[in-house]
Amino acid sequence: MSNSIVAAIYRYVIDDVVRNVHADFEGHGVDTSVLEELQRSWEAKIIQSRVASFPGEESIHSTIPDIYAHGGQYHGGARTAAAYGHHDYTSAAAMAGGSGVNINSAASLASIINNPESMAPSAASLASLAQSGRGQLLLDDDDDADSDSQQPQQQGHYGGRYSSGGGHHIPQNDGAADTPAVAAGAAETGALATWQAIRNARRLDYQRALEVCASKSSSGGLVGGQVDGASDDEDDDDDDESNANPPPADDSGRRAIASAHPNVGLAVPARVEAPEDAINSDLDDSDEDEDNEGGAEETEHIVLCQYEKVTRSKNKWKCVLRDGIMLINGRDYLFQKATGEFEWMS
Amino acid sequence: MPSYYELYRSSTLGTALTDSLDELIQAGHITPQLAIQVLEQYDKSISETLATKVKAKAVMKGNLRTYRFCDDVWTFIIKNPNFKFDHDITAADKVKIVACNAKRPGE
Repeated sequence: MSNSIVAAIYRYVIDDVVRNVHADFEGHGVDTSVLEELQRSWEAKIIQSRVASFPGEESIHSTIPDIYAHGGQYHGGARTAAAYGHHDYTSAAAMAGGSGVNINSAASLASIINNPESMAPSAASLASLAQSGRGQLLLDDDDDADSDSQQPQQQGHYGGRYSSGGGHHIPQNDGAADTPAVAAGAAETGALATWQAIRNARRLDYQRALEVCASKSSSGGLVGGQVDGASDDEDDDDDDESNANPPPADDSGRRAIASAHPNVGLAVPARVEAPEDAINSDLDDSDEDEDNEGGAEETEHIVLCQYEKVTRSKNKWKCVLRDGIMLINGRDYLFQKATGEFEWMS
Repeated sequence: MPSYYELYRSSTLGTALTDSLDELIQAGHITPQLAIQVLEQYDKSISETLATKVKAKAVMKGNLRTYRFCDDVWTFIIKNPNFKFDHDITAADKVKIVACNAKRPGE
């Protein structure tokens, strides 16, 4: 398989990022366990995306029954919000009790592979984080009153997240601000706005692509790569899931990225994304929107790369490209160099 | 410090990182500033890794349907593309190519 190097490269990048942001986390006074959680969550999402073959995936699969022998609720039928909350805490407690800060990543990965609902793992991981983080940060404050007051609050949060389904994700903009740590100070608010702009921009393009791809592969009966496959046996999670991450209800977020160039430009420090309803979005969106209306530009296959040379002779185009990431048919491919030979059809 | 393209944030790896960071922000474990710093480190790591660790080559062919060159970024929409990798061939009905200038300003 030509994308066999992908897993190794991704592993390398993840490790490199984690290694290099360690000091940043310390500088922000954020506990190392949060960084570990970030790494775990990131890896899990990559594995779940199934864009590459990851060595060890099978062995993780085989350990699922052992790990979840005690919990078993992932296999159970009752997938209500309450059940989620309950399970999250039991498993989190088990993990935190067992290994302290070091969350059992095998268990986490297994739960993700085992449980195809994209949101469930994050709830579990966040819950476990809340548990372990609390154990860490509030070492002396572990009395009953504390856990009584915090647990229902958290449970309420996640419960709301699931029961309200797609509705929850529209207010992402205000969701983060509810959390005390984020709500502190105007500087942070600015950063939050920047962050949300970044997040929405990245997310929409790519996830729309993946969704198109997933629906294609499931309807086409292809094996693998489908993220939505197993929701058949879920209750109401399907809706929740499809609405889980993406777009604000209107298409203004899409407009923000439709102007592909801010999207790919140089990393200007603290580049302030225009608010979603900014005037300039009218200028930017025309091309892409027209194309989209024709249904023509719903590309589920993407190549992100750099060009060294683009030449044209009559209707023949030749491109010399490098340092590329491609998402084709649900698989990721990487290239150091690529040539493109295209023929313009008028 | 040289700047790096944010281009690769839209990839599988970048999107997964963005989502994970977002979860941590929502949970109040990290600030958006820290998340942005992580993404900037990702820009650097992925750019350097692609440039130095990846050796694979690829050939793409197809019908050019749309081309656009703006702000030093090429965008191509290719109909019925074929992809030839070192050990693999695949095809699609359409692909979008977004390419930044390999020679960044100032280099």
